[in-house]
Amino acid sequence: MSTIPYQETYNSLVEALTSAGNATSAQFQALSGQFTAAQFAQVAEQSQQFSAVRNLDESIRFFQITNPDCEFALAPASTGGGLINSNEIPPTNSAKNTFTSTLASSSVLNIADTVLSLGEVRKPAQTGTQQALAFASRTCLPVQIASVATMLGKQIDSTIYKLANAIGLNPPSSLDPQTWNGLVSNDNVFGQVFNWLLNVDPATGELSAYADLDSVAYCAQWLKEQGFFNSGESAAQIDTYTPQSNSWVLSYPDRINFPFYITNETTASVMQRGNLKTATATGTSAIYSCVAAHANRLSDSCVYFVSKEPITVMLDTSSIYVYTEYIDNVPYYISKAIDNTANDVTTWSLPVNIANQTLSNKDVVRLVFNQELDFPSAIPGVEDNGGQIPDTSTWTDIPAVKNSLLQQYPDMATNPIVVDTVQPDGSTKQYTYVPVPLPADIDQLGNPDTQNVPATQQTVDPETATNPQLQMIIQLLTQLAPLLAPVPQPEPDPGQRPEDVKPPVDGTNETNPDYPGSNDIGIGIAPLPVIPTGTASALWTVYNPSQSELNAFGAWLWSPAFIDNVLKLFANPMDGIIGIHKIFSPVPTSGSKNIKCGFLDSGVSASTVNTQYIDVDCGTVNVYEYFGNVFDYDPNTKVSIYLPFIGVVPLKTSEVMRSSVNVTYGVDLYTGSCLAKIQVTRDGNAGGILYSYGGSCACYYPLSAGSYSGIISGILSSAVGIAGSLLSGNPMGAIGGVISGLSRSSVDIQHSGGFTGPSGVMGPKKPYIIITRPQPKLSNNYAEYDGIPSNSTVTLSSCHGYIKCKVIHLNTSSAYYSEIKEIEDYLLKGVII
Amino acid sequence: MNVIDKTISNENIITGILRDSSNIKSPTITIKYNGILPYNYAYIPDFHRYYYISEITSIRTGILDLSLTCDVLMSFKNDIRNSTAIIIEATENGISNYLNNDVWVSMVKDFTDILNFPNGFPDSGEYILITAGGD
Repeated sequence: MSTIPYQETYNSLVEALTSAGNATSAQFQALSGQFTAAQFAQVAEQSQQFSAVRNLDESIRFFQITNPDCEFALAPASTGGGLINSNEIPPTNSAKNTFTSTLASSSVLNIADTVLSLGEVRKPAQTGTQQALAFASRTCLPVQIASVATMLGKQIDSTIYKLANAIGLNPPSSLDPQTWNGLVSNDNVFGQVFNWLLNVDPATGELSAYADLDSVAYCAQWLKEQGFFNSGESAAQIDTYTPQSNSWVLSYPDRINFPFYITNETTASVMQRGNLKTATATGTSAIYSCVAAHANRLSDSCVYFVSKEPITVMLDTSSIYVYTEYIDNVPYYISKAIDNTANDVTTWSLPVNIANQTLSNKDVVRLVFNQELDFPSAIPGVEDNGGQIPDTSTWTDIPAVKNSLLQQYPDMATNPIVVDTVQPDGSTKQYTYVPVPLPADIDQLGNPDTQNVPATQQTVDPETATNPQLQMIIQLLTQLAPLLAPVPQPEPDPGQRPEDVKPPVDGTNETNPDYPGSNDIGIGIAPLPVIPTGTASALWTVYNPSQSELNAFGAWLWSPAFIDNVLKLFANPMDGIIGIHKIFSPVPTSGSKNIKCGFLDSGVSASTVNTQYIDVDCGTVNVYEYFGNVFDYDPNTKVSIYLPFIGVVPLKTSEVMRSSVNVTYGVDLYTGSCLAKIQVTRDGNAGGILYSYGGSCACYYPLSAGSYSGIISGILSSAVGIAGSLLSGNPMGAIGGVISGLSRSSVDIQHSGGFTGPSGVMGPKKPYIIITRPQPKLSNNYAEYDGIPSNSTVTLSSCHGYIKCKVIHLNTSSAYYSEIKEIEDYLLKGVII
Repeated sequence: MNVIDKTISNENIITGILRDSSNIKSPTITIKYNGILPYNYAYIPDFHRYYYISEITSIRTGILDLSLTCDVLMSFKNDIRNSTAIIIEATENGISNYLNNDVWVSMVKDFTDILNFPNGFPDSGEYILITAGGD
């Protein structure tokens, strides 16, 4: 084996890094000072422990350590100085001096393995003092949101994890998707990560965070639109007296979008479809009428009558239903909203919108009697933390938000970090990072910090750090790891009976006391596959040559020296070569050797492959409900998935909806076979590999006429793609012009044939999920006139509005048989009770 | 007509004679009334039932025959309210958005979402060369 230059020095450096906690500053500096960039590159690339990440011009961007025992990566110092000494790093181009580390996946924050890019960034220089190190890092969307909220005076505790679900329904990307995609790394909401800088002050050991100013502005605007800055308390301010007698207008800045009047009148005139009608309320106690007027159409409004005692409300001669609302166990009586529309507009029934929420009956009652309205936060679990809540009155667009934040929070403007970062195309882009607080410590899922104080700083003891820079790296990652480490989930108690309905026993409604879990999430986790190991290295050798090495080997094969010698062993030189293919997967190599063919040494060195099976984790996406009803499931919404080297395959919607879907390929490097395993997990509990599909991720090259024909016949036989479409289900639409949700034309189209091997390499290399959703067309007020599906046993006196029965037990002693049958017919067809 | 509890207005009491061959469910009542009868609904206390006035026939001047059809919902509204039933559609009782029903109507148009996975296979492949014999 030839000697690689600087191998011994390199080995010592690796050894020092693998035992990073014991490295001393002097030792590290001594080792790192012996390398230049080019020398390091030569050693590193030939090592099994490093893989180079390159720019488009093939220059090395940074190295990533693949040794699982060492989570640090090294980068060549441009001047040949200390690898991590910030004083010797140029002020720009931090991407060439980066560290990479992998943090384990987290079921708490629902992120897969995340690669942190730790980069060195210069803080504004301070003369005479050692510059602090700021490491580029990343954080996921919920943590980013929580951090910005903390800075803006709002504390999110353990709800940070539940917040993720709310973000998924209305993410900040809805503000401006095009610009948003430039701020985050992935388009999966749980995979969205932001660039952060984590700075450790060498003097105090304090850790602080910096976030991209643009992303901070986006998050701040999103928080405003979600109602985060609406406090939980409010007092109605009566500040406008209207021309109408005895009426007051309540004013809630930034809350109520429409004028809201309260009067002590017991009658009101309303216009419905051109007819003037009179609404009248009678009762034994004081009665108030509330009028909510539409902001844009002042002629449109609705009227409520409210009292502390039962009231009777009539609209001309028709009775209006009166609800009983309990507030603090005290009953209040409020009529159904009476529309006042000049035209035939009947779609506007609940116009008042406070804090992005529809006004409820209880809200109206509180407005009248309590003069205080406890507006819940847009998302529960948000409280004031004593910090400055921003004035959002000038927040008209993102640039305005940025300017406003810089003015209201001076620390952002005076202590930014400006970073020039090299882009993949070689250009330089400038980013501005502003200080943001770290979210509150959360030790375990759902357990917030007891002091409810944002943890803005965490300390590193400088006295114990023998190598301040290296120790900072180590302790930084140590502090981050618990936040993102998987939280062990408790085993389900098989003896516990949750309150939810469980599968019935023997066709009855009795629950099975031995059945754990609820009807909304399953139980059990499917067994994980165990990849076989071991290889008969004495019978064959597997190499991973580069293109140039392969060319050199081919030239040697047909040289006279090889031909003369191999004929003594084989009749055909090609008998010495078992096969060659190109595989589209990562290939872990283990050292390098000269390629031997037919026991003859070619003198061409190539990496060797001792591992036959590897896993390629394509990551996880989350599939959310869109409608929150039956439209999210079959036969309305259909889900399929494109798998590289396999094709588009259908998924059962009910199995993947509300779930995390992970795709991991098992690859046989020797044959190119691959197995796509689709793991479906719901709520972090039950799940497993529900779908498995096989394929080939290799493209075989012919070595002889016989092998070529074998390859071609294999392609033809494996081409199961069908030119055209495959129809299934009921291709006919419903008769009558109205297509119901259930009789929806479910024409299943096959989106691809099965393609594998040479065909598969020409397809996309990343999987993606295809979700086809319907466009509902529900009639206005359908709940009132057509009802919503139900399946309940009730006493009809407890019902209100439209009902349609399936089974009736009519309790009557005076009706005749024909009348009973007629009553039952009415109830089966639907009545308004 | 499928509203159980009707709102009655402009009540008036009129006396009439039950025609021969009438029945309680669909009686025919003869009344004296001058002019056009402005009513469409009736209640007969003796029968304890409410009726729709389905037809008005003028026998002669001032004499009208009212053909009545029993409104079973209004007549037995208390019995109905006291009854038990399994309801399959409702405005608010026991409703679920996840129960299948022909209430859920959609258009024939769809829209498609694509969810990309964050990782995948490398675009450029690696050669694998297998030769006979070990090292």
